[in-house]
Amino acid sequence: VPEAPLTPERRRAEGGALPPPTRAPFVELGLVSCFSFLRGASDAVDLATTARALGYDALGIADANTMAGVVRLHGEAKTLGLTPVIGCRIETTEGLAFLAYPRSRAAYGRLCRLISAGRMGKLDGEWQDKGICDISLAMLADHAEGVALVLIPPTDLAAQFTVAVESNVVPFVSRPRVLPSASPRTGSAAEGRRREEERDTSHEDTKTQSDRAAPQAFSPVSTSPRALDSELKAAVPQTKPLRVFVSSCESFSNLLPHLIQQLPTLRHIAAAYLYSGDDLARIAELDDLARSHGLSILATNLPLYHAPAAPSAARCDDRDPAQDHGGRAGHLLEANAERHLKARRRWHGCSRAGPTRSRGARRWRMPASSALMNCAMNIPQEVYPDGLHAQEHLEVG
Amino acid sequence: MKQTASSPGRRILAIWLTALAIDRWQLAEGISPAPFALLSESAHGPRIAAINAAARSAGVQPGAMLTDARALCPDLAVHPGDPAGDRAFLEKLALWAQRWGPWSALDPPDGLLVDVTGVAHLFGGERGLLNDAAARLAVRGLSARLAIAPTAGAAWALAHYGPGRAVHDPGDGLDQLPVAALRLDPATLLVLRRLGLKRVGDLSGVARDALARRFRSTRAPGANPLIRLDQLLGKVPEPLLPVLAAEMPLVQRRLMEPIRHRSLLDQVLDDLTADMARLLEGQAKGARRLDLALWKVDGEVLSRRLELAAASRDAAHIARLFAGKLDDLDAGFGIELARLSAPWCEPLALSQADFERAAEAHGTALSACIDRLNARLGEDAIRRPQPFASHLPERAQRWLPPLAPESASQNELAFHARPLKLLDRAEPIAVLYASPDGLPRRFRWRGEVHEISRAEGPERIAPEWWRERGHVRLRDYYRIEDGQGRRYWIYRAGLAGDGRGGVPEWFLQGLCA
Repeated sequence: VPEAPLTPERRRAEGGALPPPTRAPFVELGLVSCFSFLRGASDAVDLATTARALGYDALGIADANTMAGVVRLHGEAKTLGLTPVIGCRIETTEGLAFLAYPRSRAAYGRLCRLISAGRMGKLDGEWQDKGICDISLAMLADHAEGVALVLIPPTDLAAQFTVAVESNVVPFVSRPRVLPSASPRTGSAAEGRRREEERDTSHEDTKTQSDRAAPQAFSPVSTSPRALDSELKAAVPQTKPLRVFVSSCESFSNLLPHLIQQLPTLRHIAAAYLYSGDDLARIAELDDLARSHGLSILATNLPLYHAPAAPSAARCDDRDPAQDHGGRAGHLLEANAERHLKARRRWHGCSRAGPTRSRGARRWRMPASSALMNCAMNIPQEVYPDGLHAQEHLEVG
Repeated sequence: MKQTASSPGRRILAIWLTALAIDRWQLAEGISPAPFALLSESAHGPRIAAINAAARSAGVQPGAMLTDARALCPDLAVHPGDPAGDRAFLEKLALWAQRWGPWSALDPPDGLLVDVTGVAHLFGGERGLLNDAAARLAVRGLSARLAIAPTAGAAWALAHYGPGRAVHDPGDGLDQLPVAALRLDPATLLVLRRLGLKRVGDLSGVARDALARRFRSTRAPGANPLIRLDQLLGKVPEPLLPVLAAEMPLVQRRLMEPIRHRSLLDQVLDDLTADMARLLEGQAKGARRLDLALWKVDGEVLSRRLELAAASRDAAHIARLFAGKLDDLDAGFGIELARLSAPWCEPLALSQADFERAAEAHGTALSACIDRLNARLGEDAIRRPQPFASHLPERAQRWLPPLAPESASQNELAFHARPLKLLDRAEPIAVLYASPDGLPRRFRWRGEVHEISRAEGPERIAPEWWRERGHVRLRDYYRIEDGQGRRYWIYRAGLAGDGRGGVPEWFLQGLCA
């Protein structure tokens, strides 16, 4: 008896005779493929094929804390003539989530380096457990140069987050220090090391405040958000010689100034219409919030699957309810199966939040996608600029 | 139970009721000379479980299929057996058998073990004890085989396979008994028979380590002849579970004169509850269920049942609750006997009363309050909701008894926005809408038309596909407000064109404040 193969044959998209897609007004970002285990349910073939059938011309992947699904989506999208937008979804240990799309080859390297750092070591320096990725907001800030970030708001906008923010306590420095006028948030390792030295110096200088000077220590110092805001606004334009962090517990709206200050590449807030009852009010609130901080909202459906019709596959986004908890998975699952790729007509039918969202997504896409092509293309070259070896070239950035 | 089986002087009486099921049947239905059999249901049809002497003489075998038995004996009368009743009868008999020893144990399905250590002289020696037991069992209409031996295993073996009324002393040999006397499984017996080991003595002839190696993978005593042999000889202890009598607390009053008036009955009830409280206090128990039975002069019995939310022995509280249930009582020519029993009790520790009189009047306990409400509103009128992880509103909670323990884990309520009042069953409404999947404009509920001035939604909840059938439709919930400011929670079952039915229907499921 011939034995069937243990794994089914890999399916590939068939797009040989397709004409190139017309330019679509909307680009879906934040797509989760099956490489986000127990969350995304659809293979890249299905995602790309469905997107092509729905009239998209580009597709932005964002697997959770991994780049693993990028290769397949890139291949399938190229086969179908779609433009793949390469990126990932960064979920930090503070509970925040970002869509991260690098705009250049060097930024792509930094993003991969960030994921590797989170997967290899815990925040306290211990070896990381398998399958876990710990990325803190400070780590993201260190690697965010050139990476366009989209903030995904939490389900409950009133939820409290504890993040490390810069303190308004300025340590006394005995002698003036001359510092380079570069931005304090260049993400290179050398910059990070230099900053570490500065912190060490500040420890020596201000012995009395050594307990609150650690960047990630959760010290019991509580400062009012208002005071912090004013201090930050006053401090941001200048070159700040010493950066002292305290942990602060803030709601989402109060947190946003800190995020913008720490992440200069954060320009958008993701807004999704997820059929949760008060979507319009929520999108309007997010829009107000974004405008008041100089950001804009960005339409995305945050899709987990390519079609709503495959119920068992489409809704096992967290766990299989039939096996887990004796069929009582309940709230581990989504309430509905609306997080799938949707046609543009359906998008506009259900969204009444104005034209800003789709315009943002369209305008924003181009630089990202063009840059990401290069990193896939230039690996097999024989000769690299500056006489670098292939591995050295990959490690640039 | 401090003694081990190997200590000298231990004596066990084994009683094997050879035809327990048939004896019970004949005690209940009378002895008939016709062939009769009790049946048990098996996967392949009815099977003979027990037969009487006439059927045995006609050739019917226990364990045979009924159709085979009918072929042998066409006039065989049959009836379904009652294994549960046999077991209950055996439990009662085990308690009764404690007349011959301080404790007794069940040996299911049809045997008893009684510890008769040091009590034989009361019956004139062990022979006298066996004769007494055989005579008393015969008086009850039960056929039995008896034996006394130092271990339970030996007593069982002799009762089943030894001479009648055997008395075994520690030095006597048991080598001539068949290996079936070791209480082994049929499969193990088959193995031993194939090995040519037929008698208990044959096992002693084989090297012990050879047997241990052969049965090394079986730890159950019934499948390992070595363990059974050691138990038979008293080399390893064999724990037995004694039967303990649990008596139901019961108090009663026989009345000199039949009473016909409620005031007198209340007095009797107060006395009964006071007696019951004293009885329960002595046992450190509290009643959860109480049965009041009133015998009338004409023999009719009136009964009232009371269930309490928490264990209690508060006489005044119980009397008050019962008083509410006696209003519709018809005393007829009078009540001459009142009995109060507590079939369900729970441990309730004694508590010290307060020194101060005033401290006792601080209010009503929650359990007492629930009892009173239950008595007034009816059973199951008071329940406590327990969150349940489901997105469907009617499944998002379970109903528990009012004082049931809360679940170990608590978390935030995960639902989005829910109305204060949820109807038990969603009521269909007629809705006017602008577009099939748009907001509703006007609806008719219970014959009244409401204009919708505000609406929010939809909140989409998909059916639970792992639980429900494939044609169940999703729901789009809307929070709406009508012209008078009344808010409702309605949903549309399904979408137009979802392939699961025709035009979607609308339902009203909840009322907001």
